[in-house]
Amino acid sequence: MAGRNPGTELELGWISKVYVNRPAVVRHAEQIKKWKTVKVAAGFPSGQTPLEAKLTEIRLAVEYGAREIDIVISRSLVLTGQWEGLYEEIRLCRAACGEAHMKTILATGELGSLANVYKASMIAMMAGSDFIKTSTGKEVENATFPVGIVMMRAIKEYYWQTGYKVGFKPAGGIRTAKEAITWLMLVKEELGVEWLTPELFRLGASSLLGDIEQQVFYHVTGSYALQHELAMA
Amino acid sequence: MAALVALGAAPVAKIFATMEEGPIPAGINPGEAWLESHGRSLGHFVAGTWLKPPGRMSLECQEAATGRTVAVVPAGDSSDLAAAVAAAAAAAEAWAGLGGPERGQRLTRLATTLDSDRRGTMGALLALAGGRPLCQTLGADLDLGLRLLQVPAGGAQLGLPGLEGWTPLGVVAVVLAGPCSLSALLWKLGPLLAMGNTALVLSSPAAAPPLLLLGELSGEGAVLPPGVLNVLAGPPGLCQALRAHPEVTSVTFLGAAQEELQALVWGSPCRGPRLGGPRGGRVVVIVLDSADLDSAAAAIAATAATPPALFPWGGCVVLAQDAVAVALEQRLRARLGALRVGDPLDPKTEVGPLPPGTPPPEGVVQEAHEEGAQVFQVPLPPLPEGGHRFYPPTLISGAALTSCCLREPAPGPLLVLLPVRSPNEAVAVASALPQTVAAAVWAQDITVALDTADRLPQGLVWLNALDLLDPSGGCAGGAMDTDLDEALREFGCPPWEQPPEVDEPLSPLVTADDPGDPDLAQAVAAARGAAPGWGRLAGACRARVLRGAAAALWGGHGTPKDGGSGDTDGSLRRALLRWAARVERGGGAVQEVPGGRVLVTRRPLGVVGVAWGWPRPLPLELLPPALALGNCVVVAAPPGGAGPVQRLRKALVAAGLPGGALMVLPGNSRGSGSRLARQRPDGLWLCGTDAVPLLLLLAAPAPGSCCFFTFNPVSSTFRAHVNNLTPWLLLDYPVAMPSNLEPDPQGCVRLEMVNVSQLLETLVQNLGVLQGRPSHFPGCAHLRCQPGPALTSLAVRHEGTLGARQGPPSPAGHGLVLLGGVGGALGLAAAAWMLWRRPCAQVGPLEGTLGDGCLGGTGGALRVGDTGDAVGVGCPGVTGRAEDTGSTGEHWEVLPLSPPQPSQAPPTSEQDGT
Repeated sequence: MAGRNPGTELELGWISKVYVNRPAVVRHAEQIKKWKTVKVAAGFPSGQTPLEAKLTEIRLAVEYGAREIDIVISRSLVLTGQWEGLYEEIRLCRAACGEAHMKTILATGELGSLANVYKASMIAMMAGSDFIKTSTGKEVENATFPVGIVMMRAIKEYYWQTGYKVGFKPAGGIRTAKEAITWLMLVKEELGVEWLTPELFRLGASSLLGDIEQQVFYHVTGSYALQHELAMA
Repeated sequence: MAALVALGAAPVAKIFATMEEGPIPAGINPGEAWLESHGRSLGHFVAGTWLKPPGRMSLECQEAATGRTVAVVPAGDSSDLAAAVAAAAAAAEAWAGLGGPERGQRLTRLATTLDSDRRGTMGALLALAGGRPLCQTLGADLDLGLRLLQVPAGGAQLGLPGLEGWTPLGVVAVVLAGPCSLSALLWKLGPLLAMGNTALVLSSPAAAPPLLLLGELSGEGAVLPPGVLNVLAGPPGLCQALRAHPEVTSVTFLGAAQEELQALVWGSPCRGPRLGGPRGGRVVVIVLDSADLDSAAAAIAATAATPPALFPWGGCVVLAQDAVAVALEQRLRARLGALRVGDPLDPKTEVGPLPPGTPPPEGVVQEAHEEGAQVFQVPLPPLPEGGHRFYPPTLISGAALTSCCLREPAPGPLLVLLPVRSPNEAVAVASALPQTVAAAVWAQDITVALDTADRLPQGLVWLNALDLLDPSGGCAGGAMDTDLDEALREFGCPPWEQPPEVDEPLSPLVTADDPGDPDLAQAVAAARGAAPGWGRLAGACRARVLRGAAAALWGGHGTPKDGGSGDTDGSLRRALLRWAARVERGGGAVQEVPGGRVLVTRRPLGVVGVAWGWPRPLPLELLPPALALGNCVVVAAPPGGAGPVQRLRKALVAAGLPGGALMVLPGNSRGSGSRLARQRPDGLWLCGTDAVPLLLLLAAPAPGSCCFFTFNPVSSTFRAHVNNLTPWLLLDYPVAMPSNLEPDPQGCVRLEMVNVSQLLETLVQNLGVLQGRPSHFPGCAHLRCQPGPALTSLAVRHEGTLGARQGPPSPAGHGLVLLGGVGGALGLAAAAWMLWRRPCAQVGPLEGTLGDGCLGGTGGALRVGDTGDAVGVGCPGVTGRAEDTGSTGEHWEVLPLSPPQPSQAPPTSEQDGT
């Protein structure tokens, strides 16, 4: 794993003047999608577990040899704007993780607004997350392109402020190879090609593999595979 | 895997290392294929077929990116033009006779053909010839173009209620005088054809291939009858040959910069020239501290890479509030650095070459650098042909306000970033920048955003967006695109255009009770003081004032000695009430456009001067609409009309009108019009006053202003201005010119006969002199070109040249409406906010009822140019339409204020007697 994000002090100034214009972000996402036509953890999945239980779980997992820990933030802290509380909570989890990598799941579908997504991403990175992840995959709304754009913009801003590259992982709702390629395009557009490595960008998509296999099968054989021809994904 | 190998792609490991996009497996370029199918030798498209005159020199059509010759076209000359005009003229009657529904259907079919079968070919040709990236030409540009064709076609099919009795103009020439996208052409071509005119498109060879394809499509399967759409390619001077063809009733110039247009129009007196379509200019973006900086930066970079389809390249100025300027600059640099510069035919490309004929903005950037500004330039990747047609995306920051990069628009992917302290300063800077065609405001704070947008002078203001363009939401702040029927009327001839049979003597030139310049200056200043307050009042408040006045007038008795009869009073009351009702509902309408919603509302012009020089009472019904829509009015009324105006004023002021909003000065002379004009009101109604001196006055642009004529009442309404000059530009016929602009001791204006081209040339030469001395015109001595017979009819020859058309009114006797000022429609989108305002809305609206009421059925439209569109009025409303159509054809055009003189009775002859 590439250099870990040590986190920073809580800098509320970085997020106090953040605005996100939803229509503009959505239009931007639409545009990138159009180009292409020319071309899973602790507290899982709801993030409603008491903090003590969460920390215990993490310590246990690390003890058993887990090298990557996914945590889910408490969405009530975001919705009520308790950024200090959120920072402290993630900080504690970070400490509990020890040397293990920590992914912070923002559960973006339930944060209310894109501005909240941006702010929560920044707080999570300040608190030392190595990866920020859109969702567990179990919410109603999962990884959408506008949300992804906003999170990536936060990552870029954090990079400009601190020099640390934090990874990004969209998860949930990504089912086709085409969508996966659009995600690659988005990352390239918003963060640049240096983020297109397994250390900094991952896709969380349990059903994607099957589609990719199908597409590869098609490109090799000229026809899609029958159900029994591929292993169950 | 075989597919990858076939593509010549790199090994998988390498792909993962670089993560570069692979080549897109495309077959042969459809644009090249089309050119190849014609043997790379095109012709003109005339009368539904290819015209390839033998033995003609050929001109090269070059690829924008490389300068490679992709095809040749024969150099069009006057004989080709004659053939095309003849074909268009022959087709005109049948096309007009088809009727709106049939025409609309055929145009829709043309759009469908373009959309389905030939989209790829058209997109590729546009990218090839114009250099705009394929993803734009194939996508947004073509979509907009199709909408611009389909919307008027649909209107023609339905038969719009506002168009009853309108007839087509005949043959209209469209001259592409500069870089001009297909959507810009279709913007004019759609209404033109839908209205029943036949078109003759003159293009430069570089821009010709896509237009010729459009012509060919119109001929395929006889979508349009032969001769309806003719496309000619030729050298730039070809349009001068138009003046030999009186069948061409109107000429529309597209894409030319203002100065070039001036040279074209004035150097070659051809008929009815109108400045249509996009004017060159740049976009100014204001980023306030509550903006979503990332989205703003993404949109700005995209606009810098490829400007919106209707605006030629003019660069982009970004005004960022201090608090966010640094952060925005960082983001802009990152975004510009990530832009993909390359071959426009590659679907991945975001920045193409400079448009053909555009010099790179090297000098501007160099100068900014020398002045100490920071210049950030993205290095160019390896490009075809050494990339000499390309310019790297550039960001200039820290430039002084006086820097060259702010004074002149520079074409290309060029951004100038300027920090501003507050929204107020941003508005001030944006207002002072020359040649801006559109503005955008980025701010999440809705109050600040709307307020800022509201105060900007630009015709089109986007909120938190940079690319919403749609025919139904106002395209480019042009005068004629809010309402569909307005767009169509631009190319139509109104039913009331026949000159009236009225012969009235002119008033004496100067009388004792004429207002002096100081009086006028004071009155205009008072009106100017009252204008912001009155204009910003809610419609309901203004309506209350009008109703109060109507009630007061009801009680009062019109005294015959005031010149007011009971009947006038009645119609005045009705006008007050009607406009009160209308303005209450005039708050605007939300219009859905692709990508957002637009709210179009109308805004006042400001101060409107009314000079009435006829010995008949002023039709007071003209004033309520102007006042209702928030204008302030300064009236110089003749003795016969001053009494009723004063009474109306008293009633209005008693009802709550600010005292300055309606100023009345007694005046009687034909000179008060030009004196009023010198006070620079935002709009001016001239009724039977001295037209020629006024024209001279209007013709003087402000020194150093290249885009807008700020000096005169037609500020920013160059189009109207050119329209006003139209009768003089038809052919090189003699006109009378005053040799003394100020009345001489005998109180006369001495008129001399000169040729119109001489007049204009002399005028152009002496503009500086005229301009420098606004109150007196010592320069007029220079205008004495050749002494002729003292006075002749101004329009005798004129009528002859027009053939079947009714002779247009003679200049001096023409009831002249001049328009001007900034104002008009204000639109704002809900989801993606966008504001747009007509930069050149015109004088307050007059009512249709005027035509039959107070004007005694004179019925001459106040169309100054005989081929021009009816002069639109300030506030073509979004409301009251249903009710209006029921009444006496309440058009929004200006109806006559005065009966134009019949040509046979030159009004100046009376003058001669003095």
